[in-house]
Amino acid sequence: MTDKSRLSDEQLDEYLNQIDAVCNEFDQNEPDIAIDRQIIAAAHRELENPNPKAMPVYSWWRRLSLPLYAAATVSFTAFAVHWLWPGSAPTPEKVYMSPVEIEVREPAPQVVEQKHNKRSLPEQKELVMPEQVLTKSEAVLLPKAKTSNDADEEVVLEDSFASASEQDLDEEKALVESIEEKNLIVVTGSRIKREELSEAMTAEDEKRGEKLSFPSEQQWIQQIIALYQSGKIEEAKKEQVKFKQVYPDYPIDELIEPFKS
Amino acid sequence: MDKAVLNDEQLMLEYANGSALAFEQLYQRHKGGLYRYCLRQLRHKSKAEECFQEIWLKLINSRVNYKPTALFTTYLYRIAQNHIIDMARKDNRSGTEVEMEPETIESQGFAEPLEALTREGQHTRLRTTMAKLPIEQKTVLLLKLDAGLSLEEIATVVDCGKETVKSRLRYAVSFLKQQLGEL
Repeated sequence: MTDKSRLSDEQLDEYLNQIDAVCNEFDQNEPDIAIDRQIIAAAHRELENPNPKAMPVYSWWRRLSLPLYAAATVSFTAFAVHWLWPGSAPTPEKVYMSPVEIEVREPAPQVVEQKHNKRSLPEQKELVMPEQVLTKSEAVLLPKAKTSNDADEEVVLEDSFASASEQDLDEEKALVESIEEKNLIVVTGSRIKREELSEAMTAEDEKRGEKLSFPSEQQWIQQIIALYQSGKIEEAKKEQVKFKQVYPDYPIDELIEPFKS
Repeated sequence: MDKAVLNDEQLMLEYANGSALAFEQLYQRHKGGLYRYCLRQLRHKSKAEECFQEIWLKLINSRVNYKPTALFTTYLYRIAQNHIIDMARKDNRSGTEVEMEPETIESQGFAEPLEALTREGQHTRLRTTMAKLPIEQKTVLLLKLDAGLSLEEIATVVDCGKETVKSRLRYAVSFLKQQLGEL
């Protein structure tokens, strides 16, 4: 409508007042008195006899619906957790996993040939040190690098007592023989059965502690000095390093220094 | 408590609490405006009376649900507006033509017939022209003239914005001024 822009707010109010004046002058219509009476009577009736349909209804279901929904939700969740997914239930305390069987496989064999070793025996070219001979239990516990996969080949670890005396070597030899007699393992690449392991563990664990013991400081130092004097510098250094690992507080460097030259 | 100084909302709450006197006072305040509003909207006296009664009965039945969050006038005229829309839909469905009855004009009761015709003619032309307005503009105009509502209250009744109400009112007045000239 194009006339819209012509009317300002003041003009609009002024014209509305004119219309209102005309309406008020001529329109004084009122409802009949009978209608008034009917409506007021209805109002009185409503007060005396309230319409139950008009009254607000507070049913028990409306009051209890929220707690019931909450209880149903919790129950369903518990049912789902304990029955539909039993694996997700927490494990009771003091229940442990069954023992894991570890299959020992062989890496490359570690054989140390000692060409100029005094310990070379006529019937045994390779020396197997009793401390490094693995029992069946040790074979399970040791890392793979110390075992052999080849059934025909024995795993021989590096000899840490290359400079052992003849007396020590004889003891070691005797010890190896005793171990072999008792069916202790020099680890083969074959799979070790659990039953054999359990039998061997009990008897040999006691001896193992004795075998892994090192010589006394004085005895070991004399061995190292003998190596230096015989010109086996590399072996002497290795023994010296091992000595420091075993006896870190012992002043071996100062004692050995005169013999190095 | 003196009912004369209570406003509409307080009277309605009094009635909801069981005071019939409060309702009578409330009815006396609003019966004229609401009746004229129904009459102008429906343009049929008997339909307007029926509509008028039903609006008040709805108000009576909903007394316990009334909450004074808005003005009582907007509450009352919103009920009226919804009921009028329902009646108009029923009439449209049944094909009833709603026209102003002759008795509405005859009920004015002027002393002099010529004067009555002259003054009545101006008034009749005004009402006839108002009847030509679109329903939205006519509703806004009648709520302003018959019910005496403000723009904000009209916006609440017809459920639209204040600027929309003002725009509709401006269109309606412009149309009347164009058709009738100065009154």
